[in-house]
Amino acid sequence: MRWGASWRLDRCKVDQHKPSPLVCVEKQKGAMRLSALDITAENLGLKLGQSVVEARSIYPDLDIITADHEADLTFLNALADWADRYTPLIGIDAPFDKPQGLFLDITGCVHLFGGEVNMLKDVIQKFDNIGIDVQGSIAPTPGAAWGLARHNIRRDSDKNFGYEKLIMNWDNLEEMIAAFPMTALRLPLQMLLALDRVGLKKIKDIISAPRKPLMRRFGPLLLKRLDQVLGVEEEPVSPRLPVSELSVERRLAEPIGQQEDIETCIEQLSTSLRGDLEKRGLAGQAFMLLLFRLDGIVKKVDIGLSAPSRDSGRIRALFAEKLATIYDETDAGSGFEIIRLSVTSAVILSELQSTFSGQDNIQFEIDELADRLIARLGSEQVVKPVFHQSFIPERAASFVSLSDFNHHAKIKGGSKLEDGFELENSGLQIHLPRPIRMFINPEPVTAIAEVPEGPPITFKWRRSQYHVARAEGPERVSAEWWIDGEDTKTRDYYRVEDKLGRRFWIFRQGLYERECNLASGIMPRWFMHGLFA
Amino acid sequence: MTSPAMTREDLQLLRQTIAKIEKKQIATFDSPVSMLVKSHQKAELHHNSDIVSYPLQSDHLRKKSRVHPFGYHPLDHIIGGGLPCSALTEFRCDETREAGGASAFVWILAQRLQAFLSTFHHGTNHAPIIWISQVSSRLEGGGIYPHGLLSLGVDPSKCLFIQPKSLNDALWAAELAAKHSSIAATIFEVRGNPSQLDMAGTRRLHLRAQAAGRPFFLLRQTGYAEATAARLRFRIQPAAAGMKTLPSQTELPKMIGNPSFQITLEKSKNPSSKSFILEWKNDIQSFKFATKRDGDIQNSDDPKRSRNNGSNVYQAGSENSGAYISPSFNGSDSSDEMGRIVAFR
Repeated sequence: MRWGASWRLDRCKVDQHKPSPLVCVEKQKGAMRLSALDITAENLGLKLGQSVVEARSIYPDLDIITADHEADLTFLNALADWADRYTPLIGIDAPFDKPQGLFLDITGCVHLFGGEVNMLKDVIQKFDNIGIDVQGSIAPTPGAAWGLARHNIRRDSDKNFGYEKLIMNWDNLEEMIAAFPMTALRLPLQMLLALDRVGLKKIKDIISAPRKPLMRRFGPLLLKRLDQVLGVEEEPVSPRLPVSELSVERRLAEPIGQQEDIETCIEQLSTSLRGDLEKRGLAGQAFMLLLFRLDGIVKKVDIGLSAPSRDSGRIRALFAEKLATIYDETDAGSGFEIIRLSVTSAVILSELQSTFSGQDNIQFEIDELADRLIARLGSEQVVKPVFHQSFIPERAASFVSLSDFNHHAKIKGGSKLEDGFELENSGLQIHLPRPIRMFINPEPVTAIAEVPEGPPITFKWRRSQYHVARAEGPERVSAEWWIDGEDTKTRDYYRVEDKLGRRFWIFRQGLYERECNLASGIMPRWFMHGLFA
Repeated sequence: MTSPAMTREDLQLLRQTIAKIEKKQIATFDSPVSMLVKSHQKAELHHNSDIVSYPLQSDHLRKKSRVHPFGYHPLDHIIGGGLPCSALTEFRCDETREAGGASAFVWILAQRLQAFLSTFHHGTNHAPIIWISQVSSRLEGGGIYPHGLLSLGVDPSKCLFIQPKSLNDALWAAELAAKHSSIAATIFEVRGNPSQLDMAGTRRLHLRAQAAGRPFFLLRQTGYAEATAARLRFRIQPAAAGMKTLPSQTELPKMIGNPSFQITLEKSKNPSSKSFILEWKNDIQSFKFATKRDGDIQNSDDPKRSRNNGSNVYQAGSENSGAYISPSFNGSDSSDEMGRIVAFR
């Protein structure tokens, strides 16, 4: 496929009068130069790398756009999403960070679209229908396809263009490639100029030439590209997205847009996926749903399961939760024409899923509930408590998301974990009373104590006064200097009960004498940290 | 023009009449001693097994009417044997600073029901307690501290915490959890009385809990008494903790012992505003009825409190209760009582 500024296809202009040439410009070698041009501009004799001033003097009516590679990449990614309908293996061709085209690895997909010619026609026409003019070709190697697409150009006006000309096979590969100019080899501009200077203009000039001098003169890239084009050296298309284990899709004659319809479709797809998964002894851990909209936009929805499953009802329910939060029927626009369900991650499941012991069923139901909660609320909102080796109360326990928790529990199998948290309490502090509710940030209180180092007799918290009836303490907690620094003050925790029977956990930060300096006004401060039962 | 409010005596009389028509016995904390004794014996008969089974109407109701006793017989008798295991039960506390006691009480009940459930059903050892809390309740009243759960005898590894970002998400999560029978109990903490949890909203939760056969606890932080579909509503107030005793039975009056809760049964078939104090003994995992201690006397300093604590007074806010005093006619006071939804059953 060709990437240039020529994607802007304006039919009205084509019909009425000659369109003005369109070029993209970019700063190169200290001047604004053409970095891409459309067919009209090419026909006028404009060339890549020409300066804008020169081009304008040749053709003053030039339509100039500043090149924006990031926008190009975004656009190309959207096209790649769209082209996902042909093959899951799509690579983006972006040499020197300049996105230029897409590579589609169609190995094994051709028969689904009625042969190579029909497939190519289908691709080009569908792009044409959504208003994008593309150049495409099919070849045994990515390099050959790249060259072919750029040198056997299909003109829009040519109605009887033979698509066969855009298809290469192993038999005629070398012959066709040999006839191409050097520019078909994906080489940097300087190298092309250097080759041109010594008179090597066509690929046939170097195919049979001795390799050693070429290597010495032009470096390894030239021969690498040549080998890649000819298939001597393997060049894999690196896929844009991780390839899913399995996918099923449905092409709909009538586009759908209603959420229930999509859900029904998901269930049918997952039912058909189930058989394939069972055959391979796999169960899905993460699923991805792709919705191809009629106008070329592709929506992606991901779900993850806490326990691998093949159950279609469960997959449907999870997607339903996800869709309920993100789906808007106006999003559907003219409707979705292709729905694809892929297994992005699968695990080997040796035994059958349904067991008859009650325990597993309960665990299964809990997993299902958790998955639905995670699908709708997000994984950070469904949490489990874990414990840490720390005496600072707020550090001694925390909450981690259920998926992390399960992950760790599975890996370790025991209670000790790498990340420094434990699933079970280690026994540290277990005998000490701890409040049921804790304020994440201790709230300052003003307290009056009978003796400086003693518990308060009265304190003010959240603008009300409390009179202490009973108090227990102090429980001294030293600061963790290796985290907080050496200046951090010691805490003295008191468990106090006010005269109405409310029990609080308050602490004084800073010891008199040692950590505070009354003369310079550094006083210990009191904080409210928790509420007891 | 409002009619004169019914006095407590009239209401009690009416209740007794209805009970006579329905051929049921009415039980209150104020019932004659003989009845209480009878209920004591009855409860004790079954108490040994720790499961009090009360007469059931038919077999298919068995699941619905399973109850778990508190261990305080007058209370258990009034609420029909104990805390229902498949229903919505509401709890509320007046102020945020009382949230510690209220949430601890609910956690204790949930934990007891979790243990109770695992003796009942094989394979439910791993059934978790699900705690769903609204963001504001967590920010205002503090988050649940796992070590604090340990101090109450709750196993934090058997709990799942859900912290939705919005109230609507929380309600959705609560409804989802309520209909799952694979969990031991659901606790849903909200702040105040959101309009989504009115009569209809609580009824949805109640029906789901009933169908699943699992308890659902709705904890209202700083909630006022509002009509609810829950069968029971408790109001939890702070109470001075029990005494710490040494093994030699010496009491240490200056130390803070077992947590205590002042409980008022605000809604039930036999509502009563008489409050009582339960002390949670973590070491033997049971409630103990406690008498009022010195610490509680101060409660009467607060006029609002003394009115609510008086044993002969029906609270103005609770449903089905008579007014404390006859409201003034044509006064501005009575207007807000009009048009309120009242839950009669």
